[in-house]
Amino acid sequence: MSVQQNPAIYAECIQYQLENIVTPIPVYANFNRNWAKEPKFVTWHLRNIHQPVYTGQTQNNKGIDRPVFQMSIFSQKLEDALNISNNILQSLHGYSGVFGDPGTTGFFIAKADIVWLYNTYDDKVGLQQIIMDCTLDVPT
Amino acid sequence: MAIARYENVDVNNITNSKDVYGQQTTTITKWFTTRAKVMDVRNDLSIAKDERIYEDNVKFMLNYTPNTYTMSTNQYNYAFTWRGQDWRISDVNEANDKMSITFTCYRNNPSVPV
Repeated sequence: MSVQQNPAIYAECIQYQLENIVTPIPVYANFNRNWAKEPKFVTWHLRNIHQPVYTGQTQNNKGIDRPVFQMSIFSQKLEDALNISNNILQSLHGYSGVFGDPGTTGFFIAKADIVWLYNTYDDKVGLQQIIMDCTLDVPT
Repeated sequence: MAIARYENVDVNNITNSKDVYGQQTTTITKWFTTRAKVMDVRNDLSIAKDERIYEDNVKFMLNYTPNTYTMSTNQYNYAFTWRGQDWRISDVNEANDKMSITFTCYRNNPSVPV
């Protein structure tokens, strides 16, 4: 039995957690005007919030949530992007515990599972980029 | 002789920040009020499928001063308030004789300040 998790809390906790891992490098939910004066930063996008629904008439008859967030690491030097991606991997891959701010909206995750997808170069903005996916297992 | 229009404008500092969800926010705080030569007021409409998007453009010419020089160098840190609206800078042109600086500014409707 479980209730649907709130996407707003997921967003808040992803922002908090990533900020704490890569500080002082700025973290944003979306690409924005700051790239003009920030040589490196991280953005994230949340997707696939889904708790499987089991057969039955009870709305709370659901499984665990497995949301995915994609991280994009931007930097002028590829070396910086690689090192930031390593920081995130070391800190988050296989992590189990409180995700987000323990004092407010943080919640327990059974595990965080990261896939380091690929690196690329965006010639429009002139920045190196590394894309990673992180799947959270959220027992409810 | 053509008529030049000088109107009051506020020059604002832009503070970049973000909320708890990681969305970028820009806050404007007034730096000083001045009188700018206002030129080429233009309201542009583009219709993308079902939406009408209005983009207003205007040029403000100010004297070349230490303050406007700073604005020219770091244009992403400044904005204007004119006719009660928030105008963001898109282009800056310094006159070759170093007497004036012209700021091309824009605002959108529906408005998403960036």
